[in-house]
Amino acid sequence: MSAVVAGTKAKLQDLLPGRIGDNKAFSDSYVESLIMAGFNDVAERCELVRATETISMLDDTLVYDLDSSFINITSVAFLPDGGDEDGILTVATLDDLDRKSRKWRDDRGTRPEYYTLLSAPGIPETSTDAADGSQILVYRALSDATDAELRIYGVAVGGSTTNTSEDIQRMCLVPYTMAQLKAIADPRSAHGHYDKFLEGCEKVRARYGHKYTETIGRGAC
Amino acid sequence: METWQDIKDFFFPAMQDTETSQTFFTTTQAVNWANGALWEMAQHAEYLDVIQEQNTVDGTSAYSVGPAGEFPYAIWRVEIDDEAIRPTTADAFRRSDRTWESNSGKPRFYYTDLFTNASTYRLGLYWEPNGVYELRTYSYGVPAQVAEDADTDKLQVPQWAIYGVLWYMLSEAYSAETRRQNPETAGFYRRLYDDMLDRLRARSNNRLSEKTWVVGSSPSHFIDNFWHDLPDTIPEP
Repeated sequence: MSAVVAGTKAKLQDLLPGRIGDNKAFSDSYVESLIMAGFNDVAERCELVRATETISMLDDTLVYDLDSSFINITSVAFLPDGGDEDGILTVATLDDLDRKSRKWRDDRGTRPEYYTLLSAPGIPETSTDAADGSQILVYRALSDATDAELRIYGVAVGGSTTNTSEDIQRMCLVPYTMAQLKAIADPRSAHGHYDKFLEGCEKVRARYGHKYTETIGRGAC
Repeated sequence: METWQDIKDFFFPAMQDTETSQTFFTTTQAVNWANGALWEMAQHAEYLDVIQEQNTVDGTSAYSVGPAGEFPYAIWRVEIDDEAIRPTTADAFRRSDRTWESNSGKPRFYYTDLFTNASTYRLGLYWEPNGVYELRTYSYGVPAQVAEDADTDKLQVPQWAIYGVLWYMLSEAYSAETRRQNPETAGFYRRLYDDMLDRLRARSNNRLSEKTWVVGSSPSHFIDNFWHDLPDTIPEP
């Protein structure tokens, strides 16, 4: 384990001796930006980072803002008094809500049963309180939301940059950054490095995703 | 990376240029390419829902849709007083009821085929409103455009996909007929952009699926393929 930027940069320096640093072919800051771009890409492709957001519910409110680090939402739990979870909401479309109740916006209850998403997850508000980012809409709105919360679970970008496994750096981040660094002087080699990056991501995704999937569905062979 | 300044801080060094010197490209060019990327990504992936609320006017059947900056290009839902109304076409009304334009009441249908929607997206309501109703429209939209001096504004694109804007800009910059022109490098960045665009579309379309999905070709580990378990012949009942 080593820090994402320091660990990956050390491995790159072995491949590009004397070419990374101030007044050299590639500045430190540029290489570090590329490594973080790769870290973002790996997080999305391999779905390595699980995130949670807790939202305090409000009286008579249907729509809440979502954190922009989410890539997708896997489940939404309801916490009646902000303590323990008490069940999850069912995903629905607005058409589904129409079928449930023609005037669903006016319905009130003691717990929300369904949710839908307005815009794909991950869109930030362009400026503070602009309300133009990703949102979640719940049905029903609560008439009395005292202490009630929603807990959003999903896959996200970000995560700790202090420790990343050495092989993720070697299989994914190094070839990704090499592809970017070679893109101008040697585009053919850049494509080769990028292919290697994709292959590395498949291995990482298979390895980390396997533990979630092997007991689901039709059972072990 | 999430603001316009972050994008510029990456773009100019990648072009072996600086924002202050702008030896090869100007900020105006960068803005144009960034906005091109935002339009293309939004239209391809349909990731941005633009919701607008307004009141109907007695005797007025046509309404413009969308706040300034977010250009809606496809309405997918309309509500009147919090109830969904159905899509149809003015042509269908014209064929079925010759006096359709004179009918008024609480609107039950909407149509878009009576308008030239190239600059401002508009819809029509049937019946023609006979009073004030709350009109809410849901459209796929194009994000607010980047402005040259809006350095701290965040781009209206999923945070994980913001690098797609950068890859598009670099692809365009290396395609431009300048001293930096390099078709092969442009092709490399285009590959990165297209790859990002496909994933964005898949994730946007599957936003309500509650499932994760597999990227690229098959994983290297064994997949239990149901075709292996089908019988050679279907037995008689």
